[in-house]
Formats: sequence, structure tokens, C-alpha cells
Amino acid sequence: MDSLLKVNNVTMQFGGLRALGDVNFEIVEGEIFGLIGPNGAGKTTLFNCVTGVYAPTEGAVEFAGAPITGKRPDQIVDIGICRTFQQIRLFPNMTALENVIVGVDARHRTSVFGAIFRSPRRKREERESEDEALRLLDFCGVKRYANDLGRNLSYGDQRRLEIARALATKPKLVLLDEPAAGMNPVEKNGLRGLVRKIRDEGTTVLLIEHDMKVVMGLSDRVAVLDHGEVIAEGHPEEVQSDPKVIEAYLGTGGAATDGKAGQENSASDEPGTVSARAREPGGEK
Amino acid sequence: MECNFGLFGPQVVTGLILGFLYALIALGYTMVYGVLKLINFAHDVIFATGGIAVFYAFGMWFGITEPVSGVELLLVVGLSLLIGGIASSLSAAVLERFAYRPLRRRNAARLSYLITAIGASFFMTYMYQQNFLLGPGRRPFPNYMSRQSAVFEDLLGTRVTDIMFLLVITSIVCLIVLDRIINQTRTGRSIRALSEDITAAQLMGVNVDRVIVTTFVIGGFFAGIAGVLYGLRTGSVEFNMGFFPGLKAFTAAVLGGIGNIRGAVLGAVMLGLIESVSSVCIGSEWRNVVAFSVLVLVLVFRPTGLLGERMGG
Amino acid sequence: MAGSDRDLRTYLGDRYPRTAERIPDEVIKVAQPLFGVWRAIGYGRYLLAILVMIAIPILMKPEIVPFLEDFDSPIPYINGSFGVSVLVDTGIYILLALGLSIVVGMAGLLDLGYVAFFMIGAYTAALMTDSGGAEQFHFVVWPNLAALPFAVLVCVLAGVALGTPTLRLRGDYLAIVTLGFHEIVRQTANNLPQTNGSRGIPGIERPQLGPIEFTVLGSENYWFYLLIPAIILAVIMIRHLEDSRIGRYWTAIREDEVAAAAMGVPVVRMKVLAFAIGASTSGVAGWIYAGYLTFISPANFPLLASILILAAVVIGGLGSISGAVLGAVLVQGLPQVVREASGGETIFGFDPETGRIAVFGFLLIVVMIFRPGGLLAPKRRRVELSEASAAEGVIVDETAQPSKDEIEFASSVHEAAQHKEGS
Repeated sequence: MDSLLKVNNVTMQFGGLRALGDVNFEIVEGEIFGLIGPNGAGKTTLFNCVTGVYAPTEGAVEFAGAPITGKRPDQIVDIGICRTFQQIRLFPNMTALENVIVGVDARHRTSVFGAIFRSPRRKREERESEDEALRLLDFCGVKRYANDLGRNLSYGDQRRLEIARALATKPKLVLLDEPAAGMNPVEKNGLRGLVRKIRDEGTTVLLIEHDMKVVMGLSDRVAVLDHGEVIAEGHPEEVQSDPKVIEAYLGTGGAATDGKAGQENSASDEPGTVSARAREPGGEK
Repeated sequence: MECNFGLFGPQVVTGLILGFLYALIALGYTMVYGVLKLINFAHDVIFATGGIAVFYAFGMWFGITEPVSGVELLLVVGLSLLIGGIASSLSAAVLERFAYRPLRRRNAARLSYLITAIGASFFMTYMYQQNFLLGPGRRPFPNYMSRQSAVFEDLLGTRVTDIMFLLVITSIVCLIVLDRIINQTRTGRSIRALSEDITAAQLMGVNVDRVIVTTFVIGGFFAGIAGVLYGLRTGSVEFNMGFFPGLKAFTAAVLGGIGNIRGAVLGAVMLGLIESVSSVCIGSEWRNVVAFSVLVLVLVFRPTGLLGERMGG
Repeated sequence: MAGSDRDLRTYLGDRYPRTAERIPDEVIKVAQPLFGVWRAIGYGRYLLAILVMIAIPILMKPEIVPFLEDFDSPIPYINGSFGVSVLVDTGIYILLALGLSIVVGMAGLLDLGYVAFFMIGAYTAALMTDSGGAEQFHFVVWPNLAALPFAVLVCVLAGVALGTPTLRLRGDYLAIVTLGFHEIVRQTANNLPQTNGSRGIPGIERPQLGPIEFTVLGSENYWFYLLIPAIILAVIMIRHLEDSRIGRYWTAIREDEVAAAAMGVPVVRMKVLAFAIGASTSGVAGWIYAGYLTFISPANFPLLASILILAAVVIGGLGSISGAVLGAVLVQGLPQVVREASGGETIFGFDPETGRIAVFGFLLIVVMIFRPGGLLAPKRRRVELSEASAAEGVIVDETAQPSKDEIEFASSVHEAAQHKEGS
């Protein structure tokens, strides 16, 4: 097995705050890698460093043997990494189908002129992207909402749609940021099935998750992040018996001992997320 | 295109005066931005409202047509500033309540706020332009303060008139008062809390709606005072008198770091100086071009401004 | 994709759910066949639009067609050159609104200085053709028609030049920078000797298209005919862009810039592209305007025009092409007719010319609060779903029950937590 993603000594400094300190880990092709840790441990910051939202202060990220630090988010997608967001970020006024097609578009090459003059390539690509988008909507179990606007989907379905959109870019590695947050137990079960299916189709998965059940049941390997540092790494069984890990979770007041913590956190949505906008009245289709 | 260094002294003085005027207006932009992360494009009309209110109150109703002096002058000046400030505060509060709050209620996209603000700005400006209000031309500002008499006949080669002096003193007093309000009162604490994290402030029991209105009212009050001072200095009011001062005050706020009150003052003074010095060096017909070029350059090279975007003192 | 046999009510329901419910059955029954024809003709719609547009000036002023000289206008009120000049003004605004609808409507970039591009197009045309006498500065002196591609090109380049540094900025900064850009362009034209300052450039040559002279008195008719292909081409261009990955990228950026970038959208490049393509229609509009008026000065390009065009785009419906056209008619055509009808008198105390800015400013607020989508909603892509997929359920992974280990881990941590709190 080759290593797909290599995070080498990544440090991220925001002014005086050290969000990540010398983080190292490797993800092997074809595995589900879980990244856990208490709130504020730097998990999302690490995602942002990998996906080009931030450039790490120090250290480097390598993907399939080539350095990717300092590249723009859209270049990272081209290279083969795509992500979802902890606070769902769909395109709320586009249909579910369109949301996914935007992801498919990343692999297409129709130019401005091709679009204006309706080149044969554009015709082919538009047909392809619709088929592919429908396939992915089906894959993620939200095909029946294809024509609904993103903001009108239920919370759990929005999460699934976001995953479908990420998969549409055909990533080699998909980064899921707390996909189970805010889901009920039935939805969580479904999600676990989905994540396994994604891996079985050949996409490597990096998963951030608060919900221990989800993470431990799914992951082949797990890394634990605390205060911006990796305090443990290995198979789920090894990690969960590691005293440092238990200490880390307790050290923050025991808030994150089970899945409920994740839900509480995601309940305080920032304004402007899809779920917050779902209440918006008067929006015409 | 040559700089006449002999004119530098006067340019520095006029630049500073201009800068203080911009600072008073810039406070409103920066405070609202600090709290709502929104540029209140309609702030220019709020500024104009102050001057226009005094034009009506003094010129039309009280009928003050001659300069007054002594204690009477102090009273009249104080009253006019108060009227201007209150009128602008009211218009700012109305704007917040009826235009912005409905958008906040439904978590509207940022574009909606901006378009609403533009709409409000042009709505009010062109209401003023209608014949039942100001009409299209310039209208004389009530001349209760002599435009001739000067406190300093020669300060760095400049004749500093009473009005210029009043402008600077009032601005400095306002800035000190605002600094006190923001840093030492309960209201100020709430405003700062909101500017740090609106959700957290809400959870801590801050009445968000009230604090936001208060912010608009405070910013509006200073803008109104600036409107009166501007009317005094130019001797006239006009329906679109807010446009350029507003745009430049905004530039000043960005220059200093929008959301940051001290930055706004610093940016305003710098912009005033740049503008008045460039009028001499390049030609006064280019001064707006220079001011906006500065804005573009600042935004491109230092988008967070000189002092950064934090509100607290 | 939706076929031509689609039900009218479903079609309307997709766009205006509440309005569609209220339409009585009889109306739907009558309109359904017409709707069928409309959907069936496809590109024929554009032909229809062209025919209508050709017909309007003739109806207003039948004498422009030789054998109709003796007919009276069936539209008695807005006939003659007034009516046609309203059409030309409106047509120019339609072109501008179409361009701005790409920038603001689709890509969500608030450009308040859009008229600056219009001005650049008009000045380019003026400075490349015979205008303002021999002492007037010219880049070249070419026939008017030859200046058209350059007017467009210069506008596109100006769009790129303004966009490249500023489109990295946050949205609200962009608004003010574009406002400043307009002021810089206007004041530059006002101050430079080459553009003849505030006196403007008179005597701009009118174009000549083969036998059609644009120089005769009352030639406004032909000007409108020049606008028709421009508008139709602009509509087709934008429609095609909207239906492609480019248009989807713009919408994605408008909806959520961060998410768009994370989905592989090259955000800055697409924004610059929106600016450039948006500017292109204003290049055409500027070229037509310069030749139509034969005199331009900075006073012809006030900031207000930008605001009116913005109002057209917003009131018509952000991102909607037909909305932009409708909006332009509302902000430019309608007020002129109203002004003429009022005979220059004020209406409820409002001056018809400046009062409309107050009215449309107010409408901007009202639309944003009560109907953020505007009058006409943009097209959304939909697919026909089979019954089977509509009924399909959520995948539930039966095997994904929590393992014994997981439960043990969770409970051990939980116990330890309680222990710690207790001590």
C-alpha cells in the first residue's frame, strides 16, 4: 500500500495562537482514516491546510508523492482532494442536481467560447455531467431531491448532498468534516454505510468526527489531535485504550465523551449557513 | 505639476481640518462595520441629513439670518449641532429598523444588504432633491456664524476662521467622548462584544437588536454633527452633499482598518492631508482621483488597513 | 430534460409556487397550447422577438416604410421620433442591464461603477472615428463600424484591468472600489485635454451600413434596428453561458465563494471573466450611444445611470435574463413615457426625471426585503425523474450497528469523566 497523503511537520500559527504544532501523519491509499480530538484541537484547521484554504506556517503536505502546500483550493481539487464542511456549505439556491454538477464541472474543460458557441465538447460534457450527477445523487441516496433547491433539503440530506458534490470531482481522497454532526441515529447508520461504500469504490477517506461510535466503527486507523498536536495514532483499539487520549477528552471538561457533544456544537450554526438560510421566507424558485 | 512648498503650511492645516471632518463621518462606517460586518452605504445621506435638518430648523423656522456672537453664539452653535445630530440619529435608527432589520431576521445574503443600502442612499438623496424638499440646486446654510472672523490670523501661514476652529474642537471632543463610550460604558462593552462575536454576545444576554440600533444612533449622531459643520464651512447645503464626503470618509475608514475606531481617525487625517497636499502638487481637479486611487491601492496591498480590523481600544 | 409537452402549471409552479396555485384552471387551459408552441419553437423564439422588435418602430411611425406613408400610427400617443427615441434609450439600457446581470446577477459581484465601462466604450468609439474637428485628439480616424470591435475589446480589457487586482477583495469592498473606479474614469475624462474635458466630444461620425444611412433626420428608427441584433446576440450569448459550466461556476461563487473554491472553481479567474464579459455588452452599448447622440461628455455618464441599471437587474430578478430586459424597460422606458404623459409636470410632487431615482431606490429596498428574487426568477436546471427514483428510500446500513468495543470505549470514557467531576 502506498501512502497517499503525507502531512509533514505542519505548523499553523495565527498571531500568537498555535493552532497546529508539528503535525505528522500519513494516509494510505484505500483506507478510512479517522481524525478525532476535542473541540478546538485543530482538526478543521488541518483540513484547511490540506485543502489550500490556509498555507501552513511551517511544514509541508504531500499528495501522491508531490508537494501540494501553497496551492489554491481549486488546484487542490484538480490534484484529487475534495472536502465537505463542518457547517454545511451547499449552494442554497441551486437545485441538488446543479450542486453536484458544479463538482463534475471541475473535471470538464469547456471554455468560454465553447460555451457561447455550444461546441460539440460542451454538448458531450453537459450530457455526461447530468448522468454523472444523477448517478452520484443516487449513490448518496438523495436522487429523489434532484430538482429541489439545496436549502430546502433536510439537514441529513444536505450532508449527503454535500458528500455527493465532493465525490463529483472524482477525488482520490475525500475529506469529510463531521459528516454525522446533527444526524439522528438512523441517519448516522445510513451515513456509515455510505462512507464504506465510498471507500469500496476506491476513494480514500479522511474523516473528522466527534461521534466515537461512527469513527471507531468505520476507521481503519485513527489519529487523535489535541491542542494542535497528534497525541496518538494507530488502530482504533490501540487508540481508545491510550491513557493520553482519555485524558485529552477529560481535560476539556469531559464535554466530548460521546456523540452528543458534536451535536451540541453544530447546533450553534454560524449565520449564513445553509441550515440557517433554510428558514428564509419569500425566496422564489 | 510642481509643488509649491510655500503653500505647504496652509495645505497641512486645511488637510487636518478636512481630516477631522472625515473622521467624524468615518466613525459611523467603522462602528456599523465592526458590529454588523456591513458597509452602511446609506451613511452619506445620514451625514447630509444633519446639515439639511439645521438648514430647515434655523433657516426656515427660527429665521436666523445674521451672525450672532458671544454667549448667544455658543448656544446657537450648540443647539444646531444637537439638532443635526438628533436628526441624523433618527434617520439612522429608521434605516436600521425598517431596511436592515428585516434582512437580518431572515439571514439574508450580504449582497441583499449592500443593495438595500444603495437603494436607501439613493432614495433619500433624491427625495431631498425633489422640489417639495431642497430642490436641485445649492441652498444657503443659515449663517449664524460669521464666515469671516478668524481666531488665528496666521497659523503656519493660514488664516484659521472661527468655523475651522469650531470644526477641529468639536471633532476632538466628539472623538474623546466616543472613545469613553466605547471603552468605559456598558453600552460600549456591548458594542465591543458584538463586534467580537455576535452569537456569543447574544448568548451572554446582550440585547442584540438594541445594541445594533444604538450603534447606528451613535454613528448617526456624529455624522449629523459633521453634516452641520460641513454646512457651516461650505456655507450651503445640497441634496447630494453627502456623496463625496461619504465616499472619502469610507476610504478613510478602510485606510485605517475598517471596524477599528482609532484607525478611522488616523485614516481620516491621513486622507485629508493626502488630498490637500495633492491639490497643490497635482492640481485640485485631480484630488478625487488621487483619493480614490489611494483607496484602491490600500485595498489591494493592505486590505485590513493600517491598524487592522479590531474595534476595541 | 424537460420536453415540450410539459404542463404549464408545473412550469410556473417551479418558478412562482404561490402565484401558480392562484391561477384559475380556465386560464391554464387557454394558455396551455400557446405554451406548447412556445416550448416547441426553441430558437424560433428569438425570431419571434426580432419580428416583434422590427414591428414596434413601424407601428409607431409607419412612414419609415415607403409604402406605408399614408397610414396613421396605431399607437397614437407615443408615436413619432419620441417613441422611437424611447425605444433606443431603452434598448441601450437593455444591453447594459444584460451585461450587469452577468456581474451582479450571476456572479454576485456588486459593481456600482458599471457605467464606467459604458463610458469607456463610447469614448473609444468617439476617439477612433471622425469627431470633434481636426484639432481633436484621435487614436485613429476610422469608419465608425471599424471602431466597434475595438470599443468592445477596450471595455473587456478595462474589465480585466479593474478586476484583476480588486476581485480578490471582499464583496463589500468591491462595491466601493467600483464606485471609485467610476469616479476616476469620469474625472479623468473630465480633466484630460485629449478627451476635451467637460466640454465633451461633438460631431461623432455615424455608422453607415451599406445603403442604410444613419445620418438622415429622424434616423432613430435605424438605430433601434441596430440594437436588435446586439440585444439578441447578447441574450443568446448569456443564455449559452448560463447553461454551461461557466454560468454554473458564477452562480456557485454567488451562492458560496468558499464552497465554490473547494469544489474546484477558480474563483478569481471566473470573477475576472464575469467582469470582462459583462463589460463587453457595455462596449457595444457605448459604441451605439456615441454614434446615436454624435456628442458625448462626462455628464452623459453619471453614477446614477449605474444605480438605475443595478435597479433594473435587481427588480427584474437577480440572475434572470428576461428579468434584466424587463427591468431595463421599467427603469428607462416606462419613466420616459410617464414623463411625456405628464407633460413635464411633477407627479405627486415628484419630478419625473429625478424622482424616478427616488422611486427605484425605494423599490430596491422593497424588493430586497419582500421579494429578493425580483420579478422574474432565473432558470433552474431540472431533470425528469422516474417514479422509481422518486420513491426510493434512504440507505440504511443494517450491518453498521455499533460494535461492542465502541460501546465499551464510550462508556469507559463516560465513567472516567463522572469520576473526575465527583472528586
